[in-house]
Amino acid sequence: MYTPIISNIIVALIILLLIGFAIRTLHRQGKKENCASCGTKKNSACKGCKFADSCH
Amino acid sequence: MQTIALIGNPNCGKTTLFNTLTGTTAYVGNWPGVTVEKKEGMVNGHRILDLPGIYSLSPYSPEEKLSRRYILDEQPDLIIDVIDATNLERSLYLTTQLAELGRPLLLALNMEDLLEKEGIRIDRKRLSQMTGCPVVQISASKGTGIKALLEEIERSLDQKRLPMQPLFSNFIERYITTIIKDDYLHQIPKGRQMRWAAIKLLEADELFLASMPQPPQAFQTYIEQARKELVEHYDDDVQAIIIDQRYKVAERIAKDCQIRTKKAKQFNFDNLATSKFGAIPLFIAIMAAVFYLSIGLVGGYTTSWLESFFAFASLHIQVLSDALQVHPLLSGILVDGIIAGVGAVLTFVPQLFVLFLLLSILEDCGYMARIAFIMDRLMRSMGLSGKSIIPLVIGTGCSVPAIMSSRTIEHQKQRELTVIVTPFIPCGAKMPVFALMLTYFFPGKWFIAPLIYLLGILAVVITGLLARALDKHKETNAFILELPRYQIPAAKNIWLQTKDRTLGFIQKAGTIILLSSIIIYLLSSYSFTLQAVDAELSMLATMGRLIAPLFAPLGFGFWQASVALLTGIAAKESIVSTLSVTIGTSSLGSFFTPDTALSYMTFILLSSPCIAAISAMFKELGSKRKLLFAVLWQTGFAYVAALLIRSATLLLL
Repeated sequence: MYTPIISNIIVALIILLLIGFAIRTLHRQGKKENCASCGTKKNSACKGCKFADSCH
Repeated sequence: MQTIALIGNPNCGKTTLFNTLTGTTAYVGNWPGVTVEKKEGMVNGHRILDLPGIYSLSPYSPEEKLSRRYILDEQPDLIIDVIDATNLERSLYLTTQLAELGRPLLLALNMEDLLEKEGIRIDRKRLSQMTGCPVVQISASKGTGIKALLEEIERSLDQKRLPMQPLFSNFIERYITTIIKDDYLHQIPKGRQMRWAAIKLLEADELFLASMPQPPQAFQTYIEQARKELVEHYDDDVQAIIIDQRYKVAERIAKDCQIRTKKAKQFNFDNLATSKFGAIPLFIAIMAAVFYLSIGLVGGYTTSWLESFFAFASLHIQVLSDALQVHPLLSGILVDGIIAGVGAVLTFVPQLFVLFLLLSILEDCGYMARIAFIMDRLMRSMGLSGKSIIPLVIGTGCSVPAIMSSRTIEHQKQRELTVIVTPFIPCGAKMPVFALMLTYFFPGKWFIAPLIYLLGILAVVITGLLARALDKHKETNAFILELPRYQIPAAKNIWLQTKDRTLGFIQKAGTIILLSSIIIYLLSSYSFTLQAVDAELSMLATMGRLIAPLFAPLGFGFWQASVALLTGIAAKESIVSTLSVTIGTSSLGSFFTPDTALSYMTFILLSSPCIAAISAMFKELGSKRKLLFAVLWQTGFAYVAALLIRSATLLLL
């Protein structure tokens, strides 16, 4: 009786975990590669700005 | 903690030495211009910096400006001048300038392993005497001489011995001496040397003059008189005179320290690889072989295996879900969304791994630089900078860093044009789409794959020529592209590049592709009233039908192809996953024909790139209006090209 409920919960959790992992990875990537990560501290510029040695 | 700066000509092995000394894995490429930023690391408790490769300290290019500014302002405790031992004279030209900066200098004669092959022996003791610098012979790639170099670094940091100043002809030296004696020179910024400042004053170096106060009238008159006399005496401008004097010093030192024994017989592959008529056919042949090996041979086996694997997994998970009474929405997302979408993209991993591996080998062995050399002639003739080559070569991997690397182009118009044309070069993300279409519609016809590259290059050429015709100023600039020697690719470099590119592809499958597959599944399974419906009545089909008629002349006016193009804006690999979710890759033949497949590939190749690349374009162009123009140009060009390709194919087939 409980098997379908548990199965549905497990599948839903798997999907949510995969979505969560994908969003977190994208968020981290975005921070690393975006000018939004450029700070005032030395060596805190994003990949692009480091590449050209100039910040936008 | 003391600071060490690594400096040298492009492609002399600085980054390889930097990696060896610090144990890091910074990207190393066998072509000049790889390092356009400074990299930091630690060696024996000292901070070490890898500066961009430069030929001189004259502030002509951003790399030269960066290196010069760093050395003058940051005052490193030791400069390691990495010298290509097989090219001593040219390397010593930079050494003559570094010696004037008043910092301890250590000469690292790199590539000692190639000296014997080139029939050269270097008298290190004599070189040390003539330059006043300690000299160590090393091979950064083989790791030889590194221990001696580390010992010499410690000794040099302790002793802080300054190098000898290169002396010019008496005629010039008397002006330098007079200028140095003037009180005005005491006002030079901290860390600058008197002799260096005197030479910069004679050269009228703009950066240096901007850092100095206005000179007294008498001194200004003397400088102008000195310049005039020098020009009259040597019949050349002052900068050229100083360059010539430096080369004479470098030539004299190289002649005295270099003993040429016998020149080993060399196979001159470049006679073919860079020839006017042979280069392009050879390039096509090599790329055809690369595609045959990756997509044809490896892909031929692995794609079907992996397709069978994912079909098997889908079937069994679906059966299990049904048995466990999992809700159709959840099992649909998992099986028809995630596994179908992500699986369709992952089936290309083995062949892309081989493709990236072969491209890395071509790059590391020095062949890609030959392609850049051939293209350089074309680039300059059509208003692009010679430096545009670098973004175009990087663009074969990913357009985002390629667009970023266009920042090194000085002229604004050339830079903007480069940003617009770089996405025409097929990036790794577009490869799965081409591989999918080639596998299903053109089995065994591997010559089509390199033609995709040629089509991309043709789009660059046409856009460049049009821009040149419309440009009133017609800016041109010189670009020194030195052909690196052919070498056996270093396994470490190849592995790092291939691994990074492949992992990047897999990561995309697990992120953007996964999310877009779920969204596409939901949109293709539900109507706007949120009722589970057949795909033909779904939200996705309705949206797709709105834009599909636009593509009818190109032969793919059905909604599945249109929405795949839309999802391609998120990531180009999404096109494959969307086609897989909406059509199923095995049913492609019911929707596409060979001519529409070619037209579809052409449109994907040339239309505006993914959102990450569009964002990079926006950053580099710095204006929404310019970005809109770029995107419209790319998409319009793609549309016309696809239409022409389809018409031509229909005529021929």
